Amino acid sequence: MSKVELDPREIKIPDNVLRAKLGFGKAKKIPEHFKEYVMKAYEELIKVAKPVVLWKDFETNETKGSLFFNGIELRGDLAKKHLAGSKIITVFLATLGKRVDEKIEECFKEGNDLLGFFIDGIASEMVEYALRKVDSDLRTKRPHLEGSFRISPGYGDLPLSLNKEIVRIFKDEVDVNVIEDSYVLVPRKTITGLVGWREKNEEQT
Amino acid sequence: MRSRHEIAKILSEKVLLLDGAYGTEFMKLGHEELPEELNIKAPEVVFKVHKTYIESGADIVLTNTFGATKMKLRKHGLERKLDPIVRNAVRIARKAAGEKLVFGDIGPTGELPFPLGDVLFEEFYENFRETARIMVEEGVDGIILETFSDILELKAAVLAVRDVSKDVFLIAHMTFDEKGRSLTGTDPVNFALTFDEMDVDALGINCSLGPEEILPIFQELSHYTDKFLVVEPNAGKPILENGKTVYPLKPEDFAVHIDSYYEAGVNIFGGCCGTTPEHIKLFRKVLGNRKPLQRKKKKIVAISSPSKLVTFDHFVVIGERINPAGRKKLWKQMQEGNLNVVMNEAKIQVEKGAEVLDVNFGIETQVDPSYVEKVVQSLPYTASVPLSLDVQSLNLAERSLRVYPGRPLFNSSKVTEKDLEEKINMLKRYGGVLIVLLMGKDVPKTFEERKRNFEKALKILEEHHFLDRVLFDPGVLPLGAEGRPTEVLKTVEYISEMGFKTTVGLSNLSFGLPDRSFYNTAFLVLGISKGLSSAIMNPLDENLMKTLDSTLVILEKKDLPKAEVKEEKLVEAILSGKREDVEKEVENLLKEKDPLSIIEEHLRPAMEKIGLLYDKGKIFLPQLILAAQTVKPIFDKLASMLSSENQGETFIIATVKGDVHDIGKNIVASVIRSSGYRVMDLGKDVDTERIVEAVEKEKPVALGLSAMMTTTVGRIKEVVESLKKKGLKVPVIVGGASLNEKLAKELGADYYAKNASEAVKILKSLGR
Repeated sequence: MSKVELDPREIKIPDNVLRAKLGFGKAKKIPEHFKEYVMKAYEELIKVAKPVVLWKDFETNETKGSLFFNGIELRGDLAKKHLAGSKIITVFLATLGKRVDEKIEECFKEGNDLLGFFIDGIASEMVEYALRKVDSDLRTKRPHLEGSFRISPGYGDLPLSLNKEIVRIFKDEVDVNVIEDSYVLVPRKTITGLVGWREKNEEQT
Repeated sequence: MRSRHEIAKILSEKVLLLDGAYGTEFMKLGHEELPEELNIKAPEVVFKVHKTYIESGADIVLTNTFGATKMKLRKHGLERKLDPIVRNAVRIARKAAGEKLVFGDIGPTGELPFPLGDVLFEEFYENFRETARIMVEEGVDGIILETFSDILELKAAVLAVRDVSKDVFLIAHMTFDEKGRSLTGTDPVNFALTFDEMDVDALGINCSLGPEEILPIFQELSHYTDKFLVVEPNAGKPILENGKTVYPLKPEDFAVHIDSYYEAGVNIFGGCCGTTPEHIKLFRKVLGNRKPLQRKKKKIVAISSPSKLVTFDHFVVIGERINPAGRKKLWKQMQEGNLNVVMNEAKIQVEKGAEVLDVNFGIETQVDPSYVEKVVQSLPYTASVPLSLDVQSLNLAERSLRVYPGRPLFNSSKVTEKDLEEKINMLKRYGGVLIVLLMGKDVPKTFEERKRNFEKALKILEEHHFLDRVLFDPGVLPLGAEGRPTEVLKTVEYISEMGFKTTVGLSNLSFGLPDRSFYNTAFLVLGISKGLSSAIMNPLDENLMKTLDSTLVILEKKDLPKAEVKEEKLVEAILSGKREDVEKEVENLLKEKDPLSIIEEHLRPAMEKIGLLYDKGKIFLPQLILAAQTVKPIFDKLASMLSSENQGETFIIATVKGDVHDIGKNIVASVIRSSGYRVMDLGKDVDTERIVEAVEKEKPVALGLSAMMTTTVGRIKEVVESLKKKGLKVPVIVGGASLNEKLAKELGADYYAKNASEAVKILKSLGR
């Protein structure tokens, strides 16, 4: 298992992504009047966010058309499309930690709805960025392997219940929980993902 | 003493150098008392500083009299010493300067004119006249009026000096801030236009800023005047170091800007606060013996108040309502000397779109001239806009022009040699733009008669070099008195084609007729199509003003109004997120209305309007959130003033069990709350039982459920079924990322709301 801790100050989200994420839709730029709110949200988030990305490789096996790793069956067409034929599956979990949830809640309680909304929007992108970065570093370090698209529970027909299995893998390293029945991750700014690896030039089935 | 013509000749051949600062030099020599007092207490110290500047290469020294006016000396108990202070100052400077030039230095009084302060024009005038008289008696070569920050005070000083001597070289300076405005709002173009036509020899800028900051302001000034140009920047922007004011620019840092000033046309260069003999020494070296560069003045027809310049490059509405004709109440108040009534008339007209205000005092013999002076002096400050002075008697006209702060419009002169020359001479002395009424001894009826008057006027105006300072009024006569407006329109077209600006007294047309607004409007539209550039008219006539706007758009003289978000004051304040402004507005409303009416008639409609703007995509989600956040504490405050039955209908909202994504729910709760509902937010990950219990207890107008995940939307069905089981009939509104209209219905919900604004709409349709 590997663990990477990122400095939230180094995570810069592109303006166009930020604009969309913060609800400015088709605006060409964030209106001047709101820039200070965005800056403030950034500052507040940086104070509380602790971006951590964990990942672990598992060998896969395919039996009777089903794909397995670590004794877990990957069901659905999405997994089949992207992960079938993989020798290894890397399982990821990225989180910003529970202080971010607490901070957002505090904002709403204090009547700073806009600040809470902005922190939430930026945090969603920050955790994505953290996972994207580790994923891309890994691809650079494995030039002989070809990584699949990264897929996550909840995408298409990949069941959310998979979150429960993934959290279990990293349980000892990070304070993340899954809500019973709904499989929602807590803290909220937590995401999971799977990438399959094949030898280069091998046809994907 | 050199005559102004001699100095002008020198300046046409060479750029001259002024001296530097005095106060700081006196301090270096151990004198911290009032600088002007040194003229009588320690003349040798003053002499020494002058001498140092002359030795450093200055062509001109300024007398040590910057604060030597009675009004200013009075503050130090020295007003009785004015004569010796000024007289000695000139003698000391003359002795030190030898063959070099001596300019008497006069600074402002430190008082503001009425209505910003208490001082009326004549007090300023007398104050400056006295100082200038002593200077001229002692034989100064010129007088510099420095560091003035108000246009009227400077005007008083200019007139005072010129009344003392027609032959003294006179420089008028203003001081500007970094934004290029004087203390009372004048910009360099306004300064240039106002004083360019008065009898001064040079205009300039000094003090307050360093050479780098003053340069663009100076360049702008240089485009609008033919006069010689003077500049004296500070040695940089002053900074406070250990409690002392320090000027940071060293001579070499300052002198690098000299070339730029030279290129902008400077004729006299010098230094103000913080400059030293070392600065002057280097300036001399850099400046050398340069010949001044020629400049070309930009010509514009414009009038001004202290803070506003109105050009006639677009159609100008001149408000006609400060006129007692046919208005008994206004007339009575004018006779009683009521200033407020005029101020109020002005304010309303400006709000309705007047850019200039015509001021007429009715039967002038029945109005106190000092009242007229007070109105003319104060109205341009309070209403901000320039005035058109419709004053008939020559004496009152002169008194009005004299005390006017800026460049007025003067209404009007007939085309007779006598009348026109009288008015031209007055305006040459006091400044201003003249309306020439194309009427001679007789009232013209035809285009031909008007054209003859126009040609006659042109000849006289040309002889007096006054062609750039006029608007022509063809003279509109009442339709009922054979006015023949088509002849007026022909005249407007003819004059406009000749490149001159025009105006009309619009309401004359419909005098005595019913439906006056329609006649006036029709004529205005036709006039504009013929090139009419302004009209004295009623800006309160909505029909007239709206048609004017659309006519200008159709004729491509004005841009089509943009579909901008322009809502009422409260909406704007809420949208801008300025809680204090909203609170202020609500506090004002509370003086007249009860809290419930304010919620029902003002806050709720304002939030509805904001919701509508969001729905139409005119504002973004953060703006909606900020609006809700801004207005929430105000709703809370108003709600706390209400009895419990008036506190608005209850709405319950919750994120269902298993779901912790509650941002959307929070925003919906906030927006609904800011629309005047009592919102009970049960939070996130809420058990079905708890939701049902709350509904049973609170009997809300509706229940809102949020479910974001595919794994949690099923809880909605659970809640709906539980409510049914208990026999609780409450409309259920649902929303969340995994939901849609169809799914909402399948789950048993009554409504699906895709955003906060829709949720409010649904609520409104339910309860109110």
